Amino acid sequence: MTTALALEEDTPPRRRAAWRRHPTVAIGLIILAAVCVMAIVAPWLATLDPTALSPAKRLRPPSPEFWFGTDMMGRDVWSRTVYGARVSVITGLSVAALATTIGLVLGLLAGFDRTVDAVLMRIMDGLMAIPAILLAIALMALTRASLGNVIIAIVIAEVPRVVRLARGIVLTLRDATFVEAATASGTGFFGVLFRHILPNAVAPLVVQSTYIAASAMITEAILSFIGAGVPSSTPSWGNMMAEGRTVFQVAPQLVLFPGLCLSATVLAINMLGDGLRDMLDPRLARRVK
Amino acid sequence: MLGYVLRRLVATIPVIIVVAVVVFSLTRLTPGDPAAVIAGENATTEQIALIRNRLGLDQPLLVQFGRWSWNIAHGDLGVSIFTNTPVAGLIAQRIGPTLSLAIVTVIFGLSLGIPAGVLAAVFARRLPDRVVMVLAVAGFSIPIFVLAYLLILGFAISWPILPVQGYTPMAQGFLSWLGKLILPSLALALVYAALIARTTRAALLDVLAEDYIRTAKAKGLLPREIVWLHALKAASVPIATVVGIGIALLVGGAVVIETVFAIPGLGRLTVDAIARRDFPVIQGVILLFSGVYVLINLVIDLSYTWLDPRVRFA
Amino acid sequence: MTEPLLRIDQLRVRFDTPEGVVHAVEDVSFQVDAGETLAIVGESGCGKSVTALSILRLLPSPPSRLAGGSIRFQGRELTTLGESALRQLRGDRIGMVFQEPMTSLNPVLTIGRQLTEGLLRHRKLTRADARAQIIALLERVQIPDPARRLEQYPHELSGGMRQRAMIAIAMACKPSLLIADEPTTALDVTIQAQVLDLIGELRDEMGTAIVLVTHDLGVVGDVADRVIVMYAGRVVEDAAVDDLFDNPLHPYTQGLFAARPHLTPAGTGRRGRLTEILGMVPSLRSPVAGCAFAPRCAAATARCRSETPLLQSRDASSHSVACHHPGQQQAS
Repeated sequence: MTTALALEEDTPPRRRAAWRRHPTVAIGLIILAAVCVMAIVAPWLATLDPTALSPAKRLRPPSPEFWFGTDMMGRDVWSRTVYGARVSVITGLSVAALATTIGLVLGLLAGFDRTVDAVLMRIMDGLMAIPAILLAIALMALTRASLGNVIIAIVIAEVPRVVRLARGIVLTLRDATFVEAATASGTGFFGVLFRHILPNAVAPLVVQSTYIAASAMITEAILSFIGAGVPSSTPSWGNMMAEGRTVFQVAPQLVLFPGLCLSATVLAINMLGDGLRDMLDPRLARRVK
Repeated sequence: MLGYVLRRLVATIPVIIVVAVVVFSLTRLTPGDPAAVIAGENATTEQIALIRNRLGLDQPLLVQFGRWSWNIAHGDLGVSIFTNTPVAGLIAQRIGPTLSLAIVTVIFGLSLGIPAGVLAAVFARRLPDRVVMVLAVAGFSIPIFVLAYLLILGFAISWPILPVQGYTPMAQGFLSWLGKLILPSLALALVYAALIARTTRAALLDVLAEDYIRTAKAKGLLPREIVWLHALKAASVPIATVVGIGIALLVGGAVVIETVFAIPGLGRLTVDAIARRDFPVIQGVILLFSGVYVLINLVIDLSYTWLDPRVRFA
Repeated sequence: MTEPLLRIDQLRVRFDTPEGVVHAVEDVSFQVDAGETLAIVGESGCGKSVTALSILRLLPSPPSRLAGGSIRFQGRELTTLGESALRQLRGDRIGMVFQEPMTSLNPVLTIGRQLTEGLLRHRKLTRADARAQIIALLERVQIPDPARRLEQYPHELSGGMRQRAMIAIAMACKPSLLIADEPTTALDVTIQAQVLDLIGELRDEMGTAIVLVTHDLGVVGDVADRVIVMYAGRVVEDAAVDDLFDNPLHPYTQGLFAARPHLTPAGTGRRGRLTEILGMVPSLRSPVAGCAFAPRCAAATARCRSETPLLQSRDASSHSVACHHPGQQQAS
């Protein structure tokens, strides 16, 4: 019985078993894939130009012509929602990639050099003491409203968390027996880095980056919602909710459609992240030991 | 114990300095002339010069920082560009609603999150655990303002039992004060409660596997005594830590919630300041929130000496 | 004939693990009379601690599960007893001392709190009365300055002191039965003897019966009246302590004695650890037919590998052994 299980670990059936054991990963991936497809093929999914105004058709309820109805400027909410996915997906992916890369590099520096560590970690502690959204708000208040600036602002607010994580991994591994053995047997710095540190850092960083993507999407929506995000001319879920806010009592769908899309996307990412964490954690724990 | 307290206090100093430097640098690091950015695109040269002068931007950087820090240490957060009144005064006017919101939210968050986490840990991998964990993921995923609108739709429009807009000071009656805070606090508390529930569950699961829980059981203690006293006290340090860290979530959330519910607090002040590019106000609010955050986490760090006697001797 | 204080019959405990079902305790039977001290001896993993913990249902469940048998204490069946009725017995009629004094006390509660709460739970006492009783008890277990100790936390006490506190917790309600699971294993040798003496003295004063789980034959010889030897989840030998020491019948028991250094100079550390018998303790998953000790036994025959020996008394004495060829000296 035990041998049968052990064999399964290394053969293809294991992958199917893993999906079945972690259905949240599968569900999360499916929803996420759907949102990404929506963002990519937005021009074909949208039934109308998302920015076209038609003052005569303001605040229409959902109908065959306007699937999600129209907003107070007569724009088609379905088309705007579809295009809004672009902003969220781009924000989530870019922030996750940039923050993880920058954080990893800084974390490695801090982990390997005591002087850098002392200075850098004090700065990171200070940055983390400023609530992320406020830091992003302040940065946005100073710059022109644009998607690029939103991404930079959120990256700056998210980087400290990654630095901490990466530094922690390096510090744990640096003193691990197998790394000490490798160093003692003459493996150079880059050998240790690429053969031992980075492979072990991948799992936790991937999990962390999913959470960062989720958090970045929420932050972008909040920034846009309070008028410190992407330009109001860009259809983003946060902007749509900000515009629909004033007429929420008569047309709640203007807020709820983009809001629920955002929630579903973030939920999918969190499910993916939790599932990945459960899948990767035990292996990581075993390796770190 | 005194050594621990001193170490914690000393460790806070660099954090405060970095926060001050970052907030100060915000106006200086941005590309272009900060005075021009603050003044807006249609400002005249005189207006820009005035702002530059008022912010002290014509002085050397170190002098600017020194003067700025000195003023802040004395409670002078500068003057609002828009209203021409001291920022500290503006903040003082607006702090009541935000403080009320924060207190009610923390109470909701703790009273939802801790019991939920305990329930999940006690029934680990069974139905109550799964329900709590699903709700927790939802709490992390539904953005605060989306949840806020769902609550408004449910409890103020479809089934109108609670007020939705504005704020009533406690002086005008406790119930009307609380009534207007229930929906915004609930919306804000869910993500906080989710965070606390997850941590409580994880910490409690670790503790429940400890030998001393078996000892407590062998004494014939009731399950509730074991869980709520023996286990929860032993698990209190990680829970307290996350209660403190979670405050950062609340600060960001408060800005949004005050916008949704038209609460005239610091969040509204910030949003208005953004629209007016009233930078001294934004800086002041960030400094205040960061200071409060650092202070709360310092207090929580110090509370470890009370929660876990081992810390006293560390 | 009166019923013994504790009577265990055909006890079976299983652990459901992802790798399969572990048969941790298999058909274990024994009894303890009032005031008697029974030692359960065996290597780690033989099921002796599991047996001791299952009496008060203190094993985590899942993964553990009672798969059969009966546990009768003072004439009451414990296996079917409700959780709240069992709680009345825990810490009152039956006290427990565990192996690790370092981890068995709650680090965040004072010694005083942890000592008095059992008394408060089982006796109608005021806090002040409970405190007075506990101070007297701490004096009895030779903890100096007890009133001050009550305000302290476990990490402020030495290992020996903590184990004395554990004993005080277990004996606070003057139980009829004390179950001690390797109470001295984690302690220094010099402290071990003191703690054992203390347990012996308290037994004599309170008339408490003891089930003492240990791997240390030296401990057994010092305090036990009767001994059961366990191997791979089963009882392989059951005898009065003198009979066992004079005439061990099971090859495994003989191996234990052979592996035990006869002269242990004071202070050199371990007394006879039971790891010197050749071979490995068998896996308790999917038990095979035959005697579990057969693979390590020099006297094993074909019968030993096919037929599980039952625990039988020899010559109508109280000395029982589960072996097809008892008393044959193991060639080694």
